[in-house]
Amino acid sequence: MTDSEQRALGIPENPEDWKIFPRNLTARAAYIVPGNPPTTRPETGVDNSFPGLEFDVRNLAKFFFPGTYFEVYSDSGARLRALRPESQAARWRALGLTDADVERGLYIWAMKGVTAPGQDPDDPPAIDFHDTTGLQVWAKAVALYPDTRVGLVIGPAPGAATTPPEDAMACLDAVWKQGGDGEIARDGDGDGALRWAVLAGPRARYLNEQGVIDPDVYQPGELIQTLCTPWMYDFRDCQCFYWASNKPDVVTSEDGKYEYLNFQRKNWLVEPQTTDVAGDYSARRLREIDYAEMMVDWQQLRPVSNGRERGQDYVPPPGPTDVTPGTLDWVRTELEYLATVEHALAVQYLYAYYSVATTRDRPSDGFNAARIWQAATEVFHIAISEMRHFRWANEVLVLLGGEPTIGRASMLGRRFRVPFSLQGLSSAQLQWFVDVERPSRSTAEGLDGMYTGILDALRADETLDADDRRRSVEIVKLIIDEGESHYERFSTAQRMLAGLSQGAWLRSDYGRTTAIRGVTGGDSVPGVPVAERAGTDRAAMQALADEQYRTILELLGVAFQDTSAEGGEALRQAISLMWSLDDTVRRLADRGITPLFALPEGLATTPPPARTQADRAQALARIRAEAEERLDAIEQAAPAPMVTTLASAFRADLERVVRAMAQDALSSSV
Amino acid sequence: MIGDRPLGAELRVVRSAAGAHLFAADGSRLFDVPEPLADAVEAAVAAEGAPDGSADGGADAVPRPDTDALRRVVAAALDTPTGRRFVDDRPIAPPPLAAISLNVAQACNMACGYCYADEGRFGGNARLMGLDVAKASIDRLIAESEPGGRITVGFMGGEPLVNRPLVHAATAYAREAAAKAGRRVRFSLTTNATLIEPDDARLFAENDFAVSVSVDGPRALNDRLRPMRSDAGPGPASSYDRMVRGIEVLNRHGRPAHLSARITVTPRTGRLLPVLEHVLGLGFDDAGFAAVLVSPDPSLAFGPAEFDTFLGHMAECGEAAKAALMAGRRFPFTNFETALHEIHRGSHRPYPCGAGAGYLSANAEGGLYACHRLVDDPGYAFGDVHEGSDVAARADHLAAAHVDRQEPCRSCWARYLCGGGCYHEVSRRGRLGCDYIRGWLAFCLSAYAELSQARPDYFVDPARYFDGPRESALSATTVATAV
Repeated sequence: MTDSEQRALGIPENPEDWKIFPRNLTARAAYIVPGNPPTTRPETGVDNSFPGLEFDVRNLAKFFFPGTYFEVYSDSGARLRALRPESQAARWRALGLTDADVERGLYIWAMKGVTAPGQDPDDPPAIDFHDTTGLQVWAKAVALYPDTRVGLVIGPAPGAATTPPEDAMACLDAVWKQGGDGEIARDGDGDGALRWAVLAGPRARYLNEQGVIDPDVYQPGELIQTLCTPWMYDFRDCQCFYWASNKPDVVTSEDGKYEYLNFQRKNWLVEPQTTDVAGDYSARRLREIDYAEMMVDWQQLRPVSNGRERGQDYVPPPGPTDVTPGTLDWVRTELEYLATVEHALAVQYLYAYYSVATTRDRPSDGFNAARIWQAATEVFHIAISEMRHFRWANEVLVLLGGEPTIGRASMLGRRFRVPFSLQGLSSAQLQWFVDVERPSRSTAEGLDGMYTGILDALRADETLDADDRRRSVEIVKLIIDEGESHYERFSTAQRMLAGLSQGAWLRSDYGRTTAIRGVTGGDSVPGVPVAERAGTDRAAMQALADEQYRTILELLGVAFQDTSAEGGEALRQAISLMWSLDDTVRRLADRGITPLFALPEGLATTPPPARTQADRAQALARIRAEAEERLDAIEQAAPAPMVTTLASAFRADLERVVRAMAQDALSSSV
Repeated sequence: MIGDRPLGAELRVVRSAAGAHLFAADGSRLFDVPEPLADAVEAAVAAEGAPDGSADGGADAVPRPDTDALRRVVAAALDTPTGRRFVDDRPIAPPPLAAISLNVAQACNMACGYCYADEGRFGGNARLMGLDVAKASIDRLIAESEPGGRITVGFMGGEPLVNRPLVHAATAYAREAAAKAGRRVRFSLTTNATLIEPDDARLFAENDFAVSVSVDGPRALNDRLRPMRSDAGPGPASSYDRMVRGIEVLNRHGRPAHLSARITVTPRTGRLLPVLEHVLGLGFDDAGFAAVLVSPDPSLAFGPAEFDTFLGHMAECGEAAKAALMAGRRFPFTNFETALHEIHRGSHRPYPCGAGAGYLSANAEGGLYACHRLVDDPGYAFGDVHEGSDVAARADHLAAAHVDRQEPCRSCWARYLCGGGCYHEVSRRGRLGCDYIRGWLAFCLSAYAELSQARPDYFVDPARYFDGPRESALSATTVATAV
């Protein structure tokens, strides 16, 4: 179609007449603007941040002198890194400047050019860059007026440490006056090492004829190449837990010899923090890696795990899989023991919890009161979690064909060999709690380590029913995972109490303080249980708490044997009775009475077999009847109102729980 | 993609005080274009319509050179980078239910001559929905809705408040059931407002109700079209007076979340602007018109000849609303404002409404139908509330109803804004109002172009556009004199 045809048909000739502007939202959304949006252009950039958001503005001025590329990050001055682009560098090569000279290191020593208003463009001042950092040279280069002439003196020593020789400065003046390109001075007969060079020419225009940043000068990526430096700068600057949690401030040396090392220290091999540096910010900064090092040598920062530095290539310690997995018999024996340990820990933690002077609900005021409550509540929750482990260990035991146990270990931990003991939540006791729950990946250490061995044995076993093994493995994994949270929780409790003295949170009238050397270290152990004088109301309340404790254990013994789905419900019922016990013990503690958590004489740690519905119903009836008898005896011995109130509340709860458990036993058999 | 489709089916030139505009049907996109381009498109579209035109895309058709060149240029500017269309002729699958209306009373205390529902009886006997059916309907809605989503329970009639106890009980039940099922529920109710009691007002205010009141204008006009039934019970003879009393009850005892007026227009209504101003003056949040197309009394339904006049009257209201918006004043004329916002968003849908898709209506026995107007119509029966909606039938309906499969819709530039017309009206009377719909949409497109240029803020955040307290644009005096 010709233009005249087009005209005849009424189609606009002028391309402007085809201009289409999207008006409503779908029209706008469907239109993709060609090229970069205006916000990416330098003139619309956000310039109040440094180095910039769109690109690093410093990179622009690194080419301020045509044919040369200066690097400006070093404190020792602005270094000539390359002669490029070739088309512009040709004139400097013509003067005799070579890549070999550049390679040996050349710095700007002085610059002549208009950098401030009022300066004579025909003879502007020359700036001596002695004692000047690279970025300061850059700042002067940025200040150069457009369309003006610039003269440089460059030489083979860092500019910051050099005063330009007089003959070079005289040469700069002469070249300027003559309007020449420059001159080069070398040692010897002019073929030796470069002494200095004077170069003169126009200040770079930065933009090409089309008005865009000259693509012949700036290579792709060159303008944005240092954009990540804010991150590096911040990483260096942000300390004292200001940075995200994954940056440590203080680390332990790999061999554990130095407990406190500055993570950012210059000498990463070992440079222990000395006291003179510790308290002096500036001195410490000098011994840390600087910004440039953080940019180019960040890899000297070493991997840190659990607060300890590791080798450059971190290899986790070998897991317990190297050990020959134990047999099923070993697993059962181990679990029988571990279940009793969980039981013991639950009671120890509970006892310690009640020693803290706090309330069940978070106190509404008082900073310290809230922290104490928080710490105590952590301990309480761990106690509950240990009860859960007690139950889980038993569940696995029964799955593996073993007998459940309601026994309580008298000695805790293969490694610790600490006897079971009830104490208040002293700082020392809390530390011991932290230690015993500290995660380990070795079967030789810690509580979870013992479970790790069981896990390996279960995984390796090929004789078990596949479903039973899967279920057992899952339960053991749960115990290990929860164990790690115990460590975190105790550590939290420790942090909450860190600023307080022990007396601020311990009940003053809770038990007695013994002078004997305690198992957890320290010369005095507070909050040790005291048996109240027989025949008193207080003794009756203690007896009541013990009765509740005993009954709960007996009911658990029945529930543990039921592995059906309904068994879980029976267990929940038995566990619900613990709230009744909790209520009683709180009342005791408020009156300065310690619970005893005494294991009744004659209590069979392996509960009587109750695998059938009939057996279970019978066992439940017996447990209740015996408990009622003992409650009667307690009430008769001390018919105080508090004792009666607590006893009747427990009777009601017991009746409800036993009835529910019996129903479950019934439904599970149908 | 413009492709080789008829330009007239894809493009429409609109002119406004802001210049020339090109509306692209695909995606309902509106562009500003120079006059010469607009002229060229109009010429090309006219040529397509000419007897020797090649626009029908027949196999032996030879494209005319001007159209061809124009297509290239327009396609370059308008086609999306991927070449995909915003809407194609594939039907949607039945989505989860979002709303159900309960025809709680297929009976009414009024006897409007034009009522499509035949005084609520839909041609059958008057009957009331039982609570068991209402509960089952709500359960059905929840069961077939999107988990965690929002659902709407609508009460329709007849006059829903004839069955007041059920409205109250069903609302309470829906609240409880929705909370249990994790759905957020809101309600709507369409009423003649003559039976509203203080308890109802409180129910509406407390339960996020959108209440739509049928009112036809000033007393004389309203009462002529909307008489009370002879056995309507004690109260004024004037339905207008009863309705005003109902609004007063709402104002005194609790306003619903939204209170709108629906004005039914018959060929006898006359000029609409005075009617609209009068109704807005009664204190509604907004008001809009609906023309009668289906009526037991044919003289009250629009015929093809009467639409021109109707368009003129609508445009008069639209001009008044546009002037008010330009001046920053409220003039909540829903036909106009809804169109403006749909055009702004570029709303494009191949169906006229959600009937049979996300919306169903239950009759008194729990039968499910496409919508409240099609209740008891076996052609639009989609299962029942006990057994569940008939998904296959809904899918068939959505496949058949797609506007690209309708004639003459598929070659109409307005098809994705209009959707093909109300199923009820089309099934009863065919497509009578197409020219009116195109005329009205062209008016709204033009008004949008002007408003979006002069008052862009109105579209960014309509709620904040108006300064000062929320009140009707009409002064109290106008209202007083009008009443």
